[in-house]
Amino acid sequence: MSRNLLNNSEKLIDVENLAVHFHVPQGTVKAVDGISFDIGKGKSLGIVGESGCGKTITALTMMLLHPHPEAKIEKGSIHFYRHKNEMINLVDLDVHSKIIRRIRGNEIAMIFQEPMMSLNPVHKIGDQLMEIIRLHQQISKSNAKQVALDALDMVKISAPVQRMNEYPFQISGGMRQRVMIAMALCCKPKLLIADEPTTALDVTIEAEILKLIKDLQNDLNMSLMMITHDLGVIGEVTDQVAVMYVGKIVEKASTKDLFKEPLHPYTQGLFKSRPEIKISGRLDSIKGSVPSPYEVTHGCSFAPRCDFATSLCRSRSPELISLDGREVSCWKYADQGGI
Amino acid sequence: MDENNILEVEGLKKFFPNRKGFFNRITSFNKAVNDISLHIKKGETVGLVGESGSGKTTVGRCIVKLFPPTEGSIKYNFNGKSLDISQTPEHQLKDFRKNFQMLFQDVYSSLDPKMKILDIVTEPLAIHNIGTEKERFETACELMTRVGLTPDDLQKYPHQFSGGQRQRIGITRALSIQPKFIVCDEPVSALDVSVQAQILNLLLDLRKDFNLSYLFIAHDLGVVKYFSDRIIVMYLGKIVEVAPAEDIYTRPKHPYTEALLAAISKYKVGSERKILLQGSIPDPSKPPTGCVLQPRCQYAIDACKQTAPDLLPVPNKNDSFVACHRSSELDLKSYSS
Amino acid sequence: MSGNSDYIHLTERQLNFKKFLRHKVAVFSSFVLFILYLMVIFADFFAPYGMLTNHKYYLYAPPQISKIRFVDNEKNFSWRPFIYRQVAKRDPKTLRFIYIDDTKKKDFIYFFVEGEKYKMFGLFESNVHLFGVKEGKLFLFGTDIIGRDLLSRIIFGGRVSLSIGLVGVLILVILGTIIGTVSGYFGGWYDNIIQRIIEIVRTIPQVALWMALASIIPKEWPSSYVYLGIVIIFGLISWAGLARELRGKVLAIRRADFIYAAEISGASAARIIRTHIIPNVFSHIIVIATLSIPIMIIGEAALSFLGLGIKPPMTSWGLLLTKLKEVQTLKHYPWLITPAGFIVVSVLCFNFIGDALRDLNDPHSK
Repeated sequence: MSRNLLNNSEKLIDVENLAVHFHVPQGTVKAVDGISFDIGKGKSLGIVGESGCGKTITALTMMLLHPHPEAKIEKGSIHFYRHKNEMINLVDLDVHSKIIRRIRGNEIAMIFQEPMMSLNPVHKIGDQLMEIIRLHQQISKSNAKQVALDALDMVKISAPVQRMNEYPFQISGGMRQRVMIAMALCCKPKLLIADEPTTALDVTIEAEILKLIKDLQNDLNMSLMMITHDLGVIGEVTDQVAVMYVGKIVEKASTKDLFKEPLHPYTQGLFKSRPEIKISGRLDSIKGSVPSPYEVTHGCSFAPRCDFATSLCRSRSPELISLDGREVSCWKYADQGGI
Repeated sequence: MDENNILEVEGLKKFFPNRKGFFNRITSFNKAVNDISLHIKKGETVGLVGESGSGKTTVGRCIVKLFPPTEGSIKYNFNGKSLDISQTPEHQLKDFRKNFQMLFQDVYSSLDPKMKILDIVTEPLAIHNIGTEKERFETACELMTRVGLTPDDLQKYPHQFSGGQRQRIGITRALSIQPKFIVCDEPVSALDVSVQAQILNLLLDLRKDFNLSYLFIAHDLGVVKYFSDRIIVMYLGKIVEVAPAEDIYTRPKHPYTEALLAAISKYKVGSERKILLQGSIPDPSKPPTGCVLQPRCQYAIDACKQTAPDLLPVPNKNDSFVACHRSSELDLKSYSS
Repeated sequence: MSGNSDYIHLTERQLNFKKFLRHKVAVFSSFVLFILYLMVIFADFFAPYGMLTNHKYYLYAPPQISKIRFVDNEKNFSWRPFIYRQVAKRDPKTLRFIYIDDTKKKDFIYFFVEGEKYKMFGLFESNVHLFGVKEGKLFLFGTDIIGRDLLSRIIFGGRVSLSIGLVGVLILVILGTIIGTVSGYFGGWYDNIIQRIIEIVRTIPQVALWMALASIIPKEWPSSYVYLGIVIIFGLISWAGLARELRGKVLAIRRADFIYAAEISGASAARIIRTHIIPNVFSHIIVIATLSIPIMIIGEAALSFLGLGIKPPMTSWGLLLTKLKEVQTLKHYPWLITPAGFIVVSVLCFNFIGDALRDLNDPHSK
């Protein structure tokens, strides 16, 4: 799926050459270093990578929630197609503007990894839900209460009326995550950004939450941007995948294609590292470790850890190569595809 | 005590009191560990799997006597010297502690941020007054190289290292006094996938080189499969199943094990994990009557609600136990890919 | 494994130092305090006159700092500053002393001038002073009722005012640290009892308690004993705040894995407190200590002002202000309030530095 195939009426959000840099006394960290992707209406995109790859900053920047003033959008655009295909470039907006505040929670919503951190411990769940609803819709308190109850129903939480009056610490982790999903979806946004929503949950609960997200995505015809380090989650929930490494997208493909044949050596390494598939013997692992964010690398940032690295890889940063409807940023495929 | 075992735990219970009110009255008990018995053979790696509230972490901490158990015995046997540490007062236990160590899940709080790496990894030696300063330094250098770091790193501080490197430092610290048994409390859960593989490989190599036995605690069956000889599955303070590793994955005997297996991702596009348990984990202070799993189990019958099943040996199988009234009649699926 | 940036290799101490340097006010305050302490330590040298030296013909002389000039009445310029000799005369109406210039005598101000003899710390004899006049008198801040130079007395008095804070805080730190860490580390019964004691101690108003304890000090004691007594009283009363705060911090790290690791290896409680807990709460101790010093400075000033603190012949900034209990004195001789300015400046400086140190500890500050 190349970006050019998707015409504007099918796109929901189109990110082009986005770069977000952190300016700290220790230097400049290129947390996001020129990435491009788009999400179609009703489709889901997975962003997979390990710590330090920039996936969380990408998610935050989509709602202009990147930590300013330390982090700055250096370049690039985020074209968001609002209702009636009115297109707006989010990068042009001021981070405190009225427009972005109307978009947040209402048209683009986000759920996080730690539900305990995103729920206010001193407010009842019902109050927190109603706060969001009344922020974006001009309705009365009793109507908002009904909307809140409907949202809790939508996420299949048990005893919703009781939950409305409870505090976050009184319910379990899985339930808190459902509440957070309810808060994100109560205004029926067009795009849900999920940043590692199940990493902190038990496996049995994870399965339920993922199923819930998928069902809701279908029911609400919502787009989904799933950020995770877990390839299993990618396989279950996404149509398209982008693999990130140290601020760049190294491979982009449909989930089917990626699982059938990962092209980039890093992606291949990720697939091989999972202990579940091994019975005995040593695990394949990627040698070395993720470079420090302050290091300036020449050439491909993965080269030091790559079994296939050549001198070209070490001297020149690879360009994005299109190949059979996918994209990969690796010199290995330079002669196969078009640049 | 069986000679082949280095550890025998019997009837272990650990209850945490819940206190309320001005006078801190005890209102109920969080029965974190509720009658656990297990053994570990010399050179064996036993995987202990459970989700939140299962009590697996508490078992790990009781085994290294981080706090005294409410009830039960914890008997170790190292090279002919055996000791029931549950009854031993702390000052008599100090010397025996050289035999076991622990690895921690949270790599960011397991190293003292104010201490140099050299001091961190030689602290167990310093506590037991082993070796001169020079000898300790040399041991530290050797071990650091062995785990994949360098002797220069000894002069640095924890904040200069990544998650995977910190866990290696934790391993160095554990190995410094040459223990025979290490409790690994979810040592790779907080690390990146590619780093997990490195650390697991390292632990495997070290097991061979140093003749170690491990208790490997994990929250899902994915990681332990690769690593364990036998697996113990826990739920809400109780052991529900024990079996050799291959059997757990191919022929689970307990509904909870089946549910855990179903919850492992298949890494297939478009696949869905089967959800076999309803509801959520109950409050450990108010465990269900009868079998701990019965409110959530699709196979539950009346007997399950009335009496708690004992952990009984599985007929015709070695080293296999299950706590389920219906284990002989249920045909559970393995869900393995 | 190693970044190119030097920052990764800096120790936490060096990172903190750089952060501290960004607080310009705190850096400036550090300089000011450094100079103040330098002055009062080497008081004999910095002060133009001795602490007790009285000048019979210059009672209640006003400050001469405004009378320093470079140009004389005949418009002659000189690089070296000078003042005209002051002569005392009685004002016919009020019968108070006034001082007028004797334009025939110029007293030039010299640096490293020879003046009164002294024995610094009882060891080094010398008579060199930082500045002064060869003949005549130079009272930058004026004199008091028996003609003692106020500036010199301020400098010598600073020894007491600025040291009481330090010594008192030392006692506070030792007591508060031990009690606070033990309370937090062991928990249970000890913690309960200690916390109740702390609450009782803290409910009693500090100043009232100081005054009560200070009045117990026997009047016959020599001033050095009184000094020690005051210091000990301050320390004994103020440890509760530090203990309370430290207990909280200790509770937070008590269950950190690195503490568990040490316990599993067989470390004793003493060892853990010494090698793990104290270094991790040390920065909090420093902050609280720094912010307690100004409280003690003010406390001493208050007590001495009320006559319950330092006794003569020792002097302190508070004691220097005693005479101002009568408003008349302040009205007629306003320069006598100068010691208060020194109290304010030193208290502000300690507070600014303490605030900056507290920011260093806060992970959320930039």
